[in-house]
Amino acid sequence: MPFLQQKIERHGVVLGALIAIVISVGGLVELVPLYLMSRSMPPAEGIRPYPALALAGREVYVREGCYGCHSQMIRTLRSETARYGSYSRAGESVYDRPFQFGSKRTGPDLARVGGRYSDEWQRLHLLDPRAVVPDSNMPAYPWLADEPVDPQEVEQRMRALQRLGDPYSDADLQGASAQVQGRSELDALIAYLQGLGVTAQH
Amino acid sequence: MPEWIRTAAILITGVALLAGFAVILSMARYGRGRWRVDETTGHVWDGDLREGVHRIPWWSLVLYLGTLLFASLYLVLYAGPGRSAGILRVNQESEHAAALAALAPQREQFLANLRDTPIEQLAASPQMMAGARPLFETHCAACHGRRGLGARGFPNLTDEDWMWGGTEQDVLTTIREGRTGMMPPLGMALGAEGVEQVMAYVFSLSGISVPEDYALAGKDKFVVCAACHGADARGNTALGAPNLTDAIWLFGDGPEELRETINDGRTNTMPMFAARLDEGEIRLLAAYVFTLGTASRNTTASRD
Repeated sequence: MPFLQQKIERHGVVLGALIAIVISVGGLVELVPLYLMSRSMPPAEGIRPYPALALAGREVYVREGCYGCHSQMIRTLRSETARYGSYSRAGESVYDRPFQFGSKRTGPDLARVGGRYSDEWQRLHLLDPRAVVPDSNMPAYPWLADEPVDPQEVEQRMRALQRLGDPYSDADLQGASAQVQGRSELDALIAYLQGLGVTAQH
Repeated sequence: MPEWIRTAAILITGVALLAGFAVILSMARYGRGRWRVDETTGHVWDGDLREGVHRIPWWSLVLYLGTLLFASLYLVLYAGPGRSAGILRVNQESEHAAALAALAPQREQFLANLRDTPIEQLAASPQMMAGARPLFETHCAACHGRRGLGARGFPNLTDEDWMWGGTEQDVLTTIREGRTGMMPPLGMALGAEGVEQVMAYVFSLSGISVPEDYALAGKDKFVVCAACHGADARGNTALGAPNLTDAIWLFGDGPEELRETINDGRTNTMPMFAARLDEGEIRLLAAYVFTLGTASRNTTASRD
């Protein structure tokens, strides 16, 4: 054994190759199956690709960094499922690219926030959180009401997702721009929020 | 995931663990026997630089082996690579189910008790109301405020005005099924002048002084509104049409707000809670709502 070690140590290429093999074991076992899983993780029952307006809203959600304070991951703890609803399942996030699980909760979890408040509450709350929750420390997002959604961009996004395998039909793509025409980013974000978790609430 | 990937993952993990044991055990023998008497590896650099050889300290060896043993045991006991569920068959889902099951009998008994107890009796129990408070704060406070004082567009629960009726059944239905109140836009039907006249009449109903001729003209045009709010403007709890003769203003008492209401209409929604809460919890909340009025009369509550 010591002589084997001497041989290896004295040949840089052999040593490098062996090191590469050793450190790739973890990656092989942990990562490679995941790459293949994303293709075979079936969507949970009732989970469909986002409609055009909600998809646009999702972009706003990502852009404004909502994940910085809100998770979308109800853990398998009794205290969490009692407050937020049934725990999150992998099959619910198959159309989230990238996923919005988040890891910090300055605000509450949003995985099942859809339908919890009225559209009007969401509108008032996003424009000025203090108007409805006086001790809220969430920032206001007043500009969302003035920014229109770009219909072309939404359609392109859906096309890209379709290419990645999301089951959008051609009719979905054709209807996309009409669905978001004239809507503000605020409308879009509310549409996204109101759809969160509604298909698998309990 | 294809089956061969699972098999490969298990094989690679197993081989890596075995290799780990082999390396550690070979290192345990390091420094014995074969090494030169001068306790060096025999490597010589620059003519005189040598690499010393010493045994691994026993505690270090124990830690290495302990780590490997822990990893092996963990993989066998808990869910591991491939489809292995582990000998213990413990996972997050089963732990959650067990946590629920542990409390299920008590919870079911408690909820059954709530379902059978008259709401009046629930409301009279300080202990029950202390338990209802966090429930209210979780599910109701975002809109109605922590003390139920409401906000613009969200009804105050502490007053005696009930848009959808204030009986036990009404309040239970409201929480269970939610409510959607819809006032149609009337700007076109009334015309700009008509809107101002109706506004004047509606203000006069609450005792706010307005030009009399305007209010009179508005009264004639109020027939459009009377379909929902009633000829006497006292509202209709079946439709959620508010009483216009009191001084309670859901969307604000300014002319701007009232003009907006009449011109553009209003749609206001209370979400349904039947899917989120147990019937017992809904009854507990209804009882809590009834106590809010008495509570607010006893304290000088600020809205928070």
